[in-house]
Parts: sequence; C-alpha cells; structure tokens
Amino acid sequence: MTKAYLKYRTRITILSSLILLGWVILAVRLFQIQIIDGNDYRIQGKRQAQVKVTLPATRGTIYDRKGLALTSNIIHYSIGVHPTKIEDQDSLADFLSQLTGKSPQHYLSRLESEKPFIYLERNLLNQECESLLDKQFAGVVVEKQISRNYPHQNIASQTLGFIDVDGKGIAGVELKYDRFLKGEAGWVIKSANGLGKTQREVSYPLNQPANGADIYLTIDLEYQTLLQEELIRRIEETGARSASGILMNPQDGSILAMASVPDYDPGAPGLYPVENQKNRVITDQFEPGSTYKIVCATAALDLNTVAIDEEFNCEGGKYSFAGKIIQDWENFGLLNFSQIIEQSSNVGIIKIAERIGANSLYRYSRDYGFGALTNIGLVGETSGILRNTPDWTAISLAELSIGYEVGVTALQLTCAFATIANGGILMKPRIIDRIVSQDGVVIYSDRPEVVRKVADQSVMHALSGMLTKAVATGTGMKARIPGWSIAGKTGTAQKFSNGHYSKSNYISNFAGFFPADNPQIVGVFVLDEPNIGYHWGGIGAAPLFKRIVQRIINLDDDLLLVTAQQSDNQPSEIPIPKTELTPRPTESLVALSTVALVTQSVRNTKNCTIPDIRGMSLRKALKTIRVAGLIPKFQGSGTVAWQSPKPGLIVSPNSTCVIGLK
Amino acid sequence: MTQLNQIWKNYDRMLIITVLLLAVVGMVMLYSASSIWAYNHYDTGTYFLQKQVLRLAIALLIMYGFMRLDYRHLKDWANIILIVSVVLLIATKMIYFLQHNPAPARWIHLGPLSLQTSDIARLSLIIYLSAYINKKRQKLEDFYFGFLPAVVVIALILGLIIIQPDFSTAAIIGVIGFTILFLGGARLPHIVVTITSAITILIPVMLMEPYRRARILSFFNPAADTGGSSYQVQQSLISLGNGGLFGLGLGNSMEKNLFLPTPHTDFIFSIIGEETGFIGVIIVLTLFLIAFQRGIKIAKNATDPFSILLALGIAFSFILYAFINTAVISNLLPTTGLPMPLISYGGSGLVLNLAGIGILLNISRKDQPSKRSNRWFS
Repeated sequence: MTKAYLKYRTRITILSSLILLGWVILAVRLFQIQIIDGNDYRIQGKRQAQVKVTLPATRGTIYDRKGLALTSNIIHYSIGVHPTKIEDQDSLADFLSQLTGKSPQHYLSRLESEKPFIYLERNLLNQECESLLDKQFAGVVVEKQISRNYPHQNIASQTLGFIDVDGKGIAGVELKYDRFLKGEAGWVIKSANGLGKTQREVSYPLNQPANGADIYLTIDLEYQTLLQEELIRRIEETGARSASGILMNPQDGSILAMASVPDYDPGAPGLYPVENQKNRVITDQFEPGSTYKIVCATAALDLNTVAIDEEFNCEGGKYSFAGKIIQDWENFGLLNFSQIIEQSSNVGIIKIAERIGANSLYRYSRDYGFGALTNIGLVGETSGILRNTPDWTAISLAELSIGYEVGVTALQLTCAFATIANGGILMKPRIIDRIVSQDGVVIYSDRPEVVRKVADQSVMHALSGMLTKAVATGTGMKARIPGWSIAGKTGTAQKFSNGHYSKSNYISNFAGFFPADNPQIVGVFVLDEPNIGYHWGGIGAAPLFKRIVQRIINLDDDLLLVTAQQSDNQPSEIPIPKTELTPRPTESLVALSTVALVTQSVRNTKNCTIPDIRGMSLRKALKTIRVAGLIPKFQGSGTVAWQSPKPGLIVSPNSTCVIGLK
Repeated sequence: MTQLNQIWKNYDRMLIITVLLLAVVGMVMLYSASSIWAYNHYDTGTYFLQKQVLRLAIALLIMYGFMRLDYRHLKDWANIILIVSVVLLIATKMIYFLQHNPAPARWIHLGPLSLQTSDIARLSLIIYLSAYINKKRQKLEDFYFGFLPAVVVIALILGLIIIQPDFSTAAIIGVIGFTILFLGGARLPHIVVTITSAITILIPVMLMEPYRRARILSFFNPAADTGGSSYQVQQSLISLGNGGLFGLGLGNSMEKNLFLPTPHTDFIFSIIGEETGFIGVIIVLTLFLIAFQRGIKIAKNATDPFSILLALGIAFSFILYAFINTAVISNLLPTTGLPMPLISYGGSGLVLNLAGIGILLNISRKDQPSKRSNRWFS
C-alpha cells in the first residue's frame, strides 16, 4: 500500500463494500429467480414453447334410408403468403402452378406485392395442398377449412336444416342432433419457437378428434325429390301460396318424404326468405275441413252407434245446427253412412256427430293424436289446437265433426290416416332411423313405436272401405289411379281470418293411402290458398296424390311386388291393449312391417308362382323373377316379349325362368 | 517467448487470466446464443461468432498496445483526449443530422470497426478526471474552483450523449464520473446537491421519450404486457428460471430459440443463466468481482493520485456495466440497453473495455521505468 493510496483508502473501502454488496444482491436475486421461483418460470417457458392446436372433427353425414348422402363435407384450402418472407419465389410459384394450372408468372407477380399478407388462392379443393403443409415453405400459410355441402340443394332442406359458419347446427336435423353430428375436436401439442412457427414432435401428446356420428333418416331421397317436384308443379298450376306434403309408411310410422314449398337451399339459406326454412308440415296448423270427418266416423263405427248402411236425411244440403246454417256442396237427400263419407256430406256427418256426442268426438280426436305433439324429434313442432269439451260452444260439436275449430298439422293428419291404414294403431312418426358412430356402433335408434290403439281392425277396415269408395266414386276421384285401390279423403276448409271464415281463401287438402287393401304409403297434401276452383280438396290437392303415387309405382319395383303378392299375407294381429289417452311407453312393433313379412314368406314357400313379367323392362323383370325365388335367364333386348314357363304356373324354388326381350 | 515471459512476470497475472477467461466465456456463449438467430437471419450459425472473433483479435491488439504504452503519458494528453472525444460526439451528431439519419447518433465508423462515441468518451472522461484531480488535489474540496469545473466537464459529456440520444449510457457515465470525484476527495454535500439537482432536471427529459417511459413503467409490472418492452425481460426471467442450478447445458437453451429477441446482445447473460445455471452466472459475476479487486490491488500499489484514480475508474466502469446488465436481465432495473462487458456481441465495448484493461495492466507493470521516458512504448 502506497502513501498516496492511504489518502483515498476510506472512500475506496466504501466503494469496494458497495460493489461487494451489489454482488451479493445480484447473487441473491439470481438465486431467487433460478432456484426458488425457477419452477414457475420453467412452466411459463414450456407453455410458450408449446402450442395446442385444435384438430377439428369432421361433421357426421346425414343419409337417406338407402344410405345415399344428403350432406357432404368438403375440405377447402386457402393459401396465403407473407410476400416479404418468401425466400424461394420461383420454386413456390412452380409448385403452385402445378397445383392449379395457372402460370408461374401469375404467382410471381402476386408475390411482388408489398402488402404484409395476401391470399394467393382461396377455397382450393385440391388435396395436393396438404403437401404444401409438409413442404414448409417459409412465409406460406395454408389454411384448411371444412365446409358443409348439401349436394341435393333444396331437396329435404327443411328437414336437414343447415349450419352456421362456425359449424353449429342452426335448423332442422343439423340443429336438433348437433351434439351427435358435430363430434369432438381433438388437439395436438406442437413445439413453437419465438416466431410462432410450429412443428409436430413425435413425443408430444396428440388427441385425435372424434368425428361426428352419421345419421340415417327414414327419408327416401327419390320420394322426397319427386314430392318436391310435384309440389312445385302444383303451386304453379293452382297459384297456391304454399304446398306441403308427407309420405309415410303407415306400418312403422317412417316418414318417407316430407316437404313444403317454397323451400330453400341449405347451402345458401341467405338467398331465400326465412319463411321458407319452416318445415310447415310440423310447424303450421290449419283447420282441415272434411279430412277430419274420419274422426267422427271412427267413433261412430267403433262405438257401434251407426251402422254402415244406416241412412240419414241430408236435408237437401242445408241444416240448421244451434242456429247456424251448415251447407253441403251438393243438395243431398238420403245418404247412408258410407255415402256420407264418400260424398263428404257435412249435414250427414253432423247428424252422426249428434249421435255420438261431444265427449266421444273429443276422445277419438285425442286418440288420433290431434292436439298433441307427435314427438317426431324435429325442432319447431306445434301441437295444434284441440279444445276440451268444457270449452266448446253450442256449435263446436258440428264444427269439429267437419274439421273446423280444430288446428292440425299435416303430420298429425298423416299419422291419423296411417292409423286407419295399418288397422288402428297410432304410430309415433319417425324420421331418424339410427345414428351410427364412426366406428360403426349404433348409438341411437328410433325404433317404430306404438302410441296407442285407436280402434279395432274391423272398424278401420270398414272405414278404409268408405275411403276407398270416396276415391273410387266420391269426392276424391282425381286421386284415382286405374288398376289400383286407393283410399282417401278430401278436405276443403275456409281459412279463418279477421274474425270470420273467408269466402276466397281456402285450404285444399287430401289425405289417402295406397294400396287400400295393404297400405304401404300414406300421403297427405295441403295447398294453402289456391286459386278458386282449385280450392276444393278433390280438385286442388287430390291430383297430387295420384301423380306422386303413380311416379312411386313406376319407380319402385319392390313396392309393386309387395302389393302384387300381399293379398294373403296380412300382418298377423298383435294384441295391443287399448290404452288411455295418456301415451304409455310401448313395445316396438317392427313386426307390423309387411315388407319384411312378405319377402320372408315368398322365400320360405315351398313352391313359387311364376310372375307375369311380360311388357316389363329387363331390369324390372330380372328383379321380379329373383324376388319370386327363381333364376332368370334372358335373351335379346328391349322389353319382355315372352316368358317360359307361363305366368301363374307353380314351380319349385330356384327353377329357371327364361325370358325373351324385343 | 521472452515477451510473453516478461508479461507474465511483470503484469498482474490474475487480471490477465480473469479478463481472458471472460473473453473466452463470451465467445463460447456468444456462439451458443447467436447461432439460431444467425442461422435464421444469415443462413450460417457462425455469422456473429466470426465477426466477434475478428473484433476480439483487434481489441486484444489494442489492449496489448495500451499495455506497452506508458500510461503516464495519458496524464499530459488528458485534455487533448477529452477534446477529441467531445469533437467526436459532436461530429457524430452532425453526420447523422446531415445524412437525415433518424437513428440515435451513437456510432462512428472506422474501417472494419464501429465504435460508440460514448464508449470513447467514457474512457476519456476517466482519464481526464483522474488527471484533473491529480492536478487539483486538495482544491477539489473547493466548490467553485475545484468541484464545479469537473462537474461542468461531466455535464458537457453527458449532455452530448443525452442528445444522441442515449440516456442509459449518459447515466452510467455520470455515475462513473461522480464516483471518481467521490474517490478523489470531493466533498459529499457537493456531490449530493449536484446529483439531486441533476436528477430533478433530468427526470422530465427522461420521461419525454415514449419508449423510455414504457420501459420504466413495464419495469414496475413486467407481466402486464408480454408483447412490449417487458417481453424481453419476461423472456429473460423464463430463461434464467429454465437454467435452475446447473443449467440445461451448453447449446440447450430454449429461450434463444427465437423467443428472446437478439439473444446475443444485451440479454446474453440470461442465456448463460439458462445453459450454465446459477453456478454459471455466479462464476461469471465472480470473475468480474475479481477483476475489480485486481483494480483495487493495482491502485494500492500505485504512487500518485492519477494512477490510483485511473485504475479505480477503469475497474469500476468495468464491473458497473456487468452489474447493471445483470440487474436488468434479472429485472432489478428497467431495461437500459447496456451490454455485458466482453460477453455481449459488439465491437465498441469490447475494444474500449480491453483498452481500459490494457491501461490498468500497464499501471500494474513492475518494470515500469522509474521516470517517464520520452519513449512512449516500452
């Protein structure tokens, strides 16, 4: 230590101590960060070095009953770039040009852009885009989007509904069964660096998405298509505001087709009025008019109040009930019960209603399911209006018997006619057949379900006979198809508006089933405010039944066969307890499906009858022969000109049937 | 060989070893911290390393030069040196101004080497103040004739650096300047009054700049916004925490994986903390402490106030940068933008720090000619 230094010693010691203190403070601080709180920071660090990327689940597909897809998912790719960050413009341009067929120059010029980010391509459908993801071009962003597509556009649109941009169901089945369809998104942990570039690491956890389940509807795409075509055609012809229709299998309650037009395209719902999204067959109620007369008729038959041939004086078509004049469309004199239905006499049915009384009319209305939800499992269903007898006025009995003062949906009406068709069992309508998860497990199935027995089979048989006559010779003649027995009832109702029944606005409707002796299809058609002339149910709505059923007959070989063979194969009667008004949980009634029974019976018979296939197309003929249990051989082309053995011959199964075509 | 032998015998060995160790640690960690950033921006992982090795070579040459230069000449040249550095500060500002360069006017380009004029000014001021105090001796206690002229010189230098603008460097040079005055025997009340009034004047200036305000505000709440100024600090803390006691091992830092922006400059010490752990940072801090202690040792053996104050000034300046940098990366101080001596990437600090160390070593020289010779180098 020098003398000079001694002079400064004190202050140097102070500085020295301060430096030492600084060292201690820093050491303590670093110890705190690195050792004491180290774990917290490590967790923070891990969190930012890993990104959780969601893997979207693919939405389930909705199928028709034959497994035809009504929806599809399309994967789009959008390619964006940060032009300034592109390192190798040429190879990127070449790659994209191979992908899209556009010239590399097109891309090179776009890459010159000075914007921070531009899209080069949007909504590319090309799968190759996936490889762009792997190539890891610097500055390129590939976005993958899955969009919902409705390949049949307007077909079944009100049933299907649609989804919003976030993939959430907004209407229809897409909304109601969203939780099944949407699946569950998965995720993957990727490593990330400070620039946000992510990379998949094999050791990082991955949770694969659970794709949505598929839904099989009872809807038949072909039936649905022709239903909608015919409804549109009828609107054009009749000037109706809207038209709706349902086709149902009366044996198990399956909805085969269901629509109201005008409709919309679920792929572009915004282009149509919101009104069009409504599934009017379940959301709209109307006063049906004469189609409702079946309720009174069922009660009269079931309670044995009126015999089928009992005659009533129809008072020349004018009858005063509780001070109100009720008129018929024709000045009927004496009509028996059956004729009253056939000719749809208001006076006649009111006289029958007077006999059965208000309580019975109400009870059978309830039994048929009017005034209650059908629980079809779609959104927006209304229960309609059916007031209980204490709320009835003096003329309610008469009004109800002819289908006024009651609000029904087309679906309720369909269910009621299906009850007549299947021999007295009210089936719960079903539109969801089953929901199948991606691994093929049925996770939900809507089995055919009996709601209650409404009346005995004999009663329904008798009523069915009346309805058959109504089509054959009565008001429903426009629904007649030569060679087929069809049961049906027309309905013409004045619309109630502004406090009174309108003289110009009508609901024209028709409900029927086919074939009358072993019903396979129930059809209900409703025209809202058709032009006068078409306002009659028998004129406006009845032709819809004829046209649609005729097209179905031409379309469906199976249906033809079943009806040709069915006569001896009535479904065996299953004892069903006549239930109270409140529906009970009921056993499944699959066996009611005649289709299954018939095909089975054909296969099991020892001997087969050679069917008459002359005049059929080759396709139809081959199918007919096979279903009959025979082996076809054919020669020539065209339609079937001859066949051997002759039709009607009884042969052993698996015999050969040779057919010649010309 | 004889030269090396002579150095080994006559110079402060411990200081040489410490400084060289720090330089080696600096190079290794610089490579580790910068390689990913370099690869991302320049396609080669050694981009920064290559440049820094070249700078280290130049800096070591300069250090050797100062080791051989009789430091006592600096006393006579102190005024000239100060004037030159003031001229450089003004000239730099002028050049930036004339070139319409909006960047802070900090750099002067001398061939392959770019120097911060404030670094030059720092060393110049240490030399000047040591010489000044040496001349004034007891008169320093006189406010008007001893203390105030020194303060005016300090204020001039600081003012020129503040207008660059570079507030942090100005502040740290201010601290060094006043510390030398303190060591030199200035009266404490003078120092306290001067510093208090300086701070009163400078606080509004400091808060004028939005980025500086943001840094200071974020210092008080580093987690508040991870995107802005505190983002670096937050990443720095994560980095240190990641290191734990022993570190993740060389080259294993996760933070340098582009989370911490430019990890090879001001925040390189956090990467050291991440890769070598608490043990590593303590060793580095201790090396700085040793270097400072050697400075005091050298001062103890010095015979005149100039040598003592010069030695202390250089040693203090060296460790002060290291401590402030550590305080910043551990969030004890707001972000300053001050580098870690010998370790952070950059040539200016490296050259001027090693030049200072060279002077310090020259002071420690045992075979110093007893009288100042006319030969400058020996």
